Amino acid sequence: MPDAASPERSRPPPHPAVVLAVAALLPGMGQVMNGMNTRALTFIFFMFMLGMVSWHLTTPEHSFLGRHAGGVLVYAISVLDAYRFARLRQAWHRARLADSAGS
Amino acid sequence: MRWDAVLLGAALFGALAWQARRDHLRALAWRARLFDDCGALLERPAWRMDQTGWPALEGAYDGRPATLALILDDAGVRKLPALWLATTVAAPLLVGAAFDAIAREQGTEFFSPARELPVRLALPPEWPFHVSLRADRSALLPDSLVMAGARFFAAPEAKEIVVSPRGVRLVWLVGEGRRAEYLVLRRARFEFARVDHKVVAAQLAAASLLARSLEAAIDDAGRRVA
Repeated sequence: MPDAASPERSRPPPHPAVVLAVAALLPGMGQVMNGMNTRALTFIFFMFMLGMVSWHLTTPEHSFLGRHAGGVLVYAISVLDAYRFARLRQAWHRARLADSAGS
Repeated sequence: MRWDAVLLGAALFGALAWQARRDHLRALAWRARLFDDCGALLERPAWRMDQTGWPALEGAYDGRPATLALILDDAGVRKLPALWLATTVAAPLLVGAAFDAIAREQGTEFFSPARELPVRLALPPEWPFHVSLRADRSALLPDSLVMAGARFFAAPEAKEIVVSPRGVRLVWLVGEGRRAEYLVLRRARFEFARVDHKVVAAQLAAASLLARSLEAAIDDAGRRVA
């Protein structure tokens, strides 16, 4: 049975593993791959903001990771967020393809 | 080694695992019966568990292939999880473009094709302002879609209308998760045991009517051109 209204059928969403890899290497780009540009900018903004907060709360004796802990925390959340949405999009896309497979 | 502590830990772990499995099986059984009252609404109904882990019902309505699917949407921030009903009626429509109209867009609607559609269209004056309208190319909105959208989006449960050359899809809210359980456990639990068949019947009728009116409008246009 054809899935009626699905312009997305011709363009499958990017594979979640690819989105995960891109999100892990390039902050915010996982969200861009998912088509969520505003969300990407929001994540990047909070990465900088919390990174600056933790920078000012630490001293030069702390490690690089420790000085930027706030930003790294948001970075980690952004990677998980990108992967979650990529999985959701893939599952929905495949489910609608299964509709058309029955025709 | 304190074997009594090991045994106690193993017993606790086993009890937790058993409880988690029992809850999982209960949730699956609840999902499997959600469309139990809706089989009579479709001709030749075929039930299956969707790849999303939620049930889908396929069949025919008014002579056209139709699919009912449920979507759990717990991706929004500071929002209760929502269970959407997606009613799809397949019909070859000679519309000039693929249209997507979505209400109260959050940017987290993974089920919506909206982000694939590059052209933002002006809203018809009859439609409420909380709707976003997009298309895959610049095109005039068919009159029947304008009228159907005005009726559909008047209800707060209305979420999305998709019209493409392959047919029509309506997305409608069937329930929101229990607040207390979601706030404490982040689990989506709903109050009802079955999807209300009256809601499903109304959505099927609305989607079918929209598909038929778009076909009729195209027939009229074809006759005028001829």
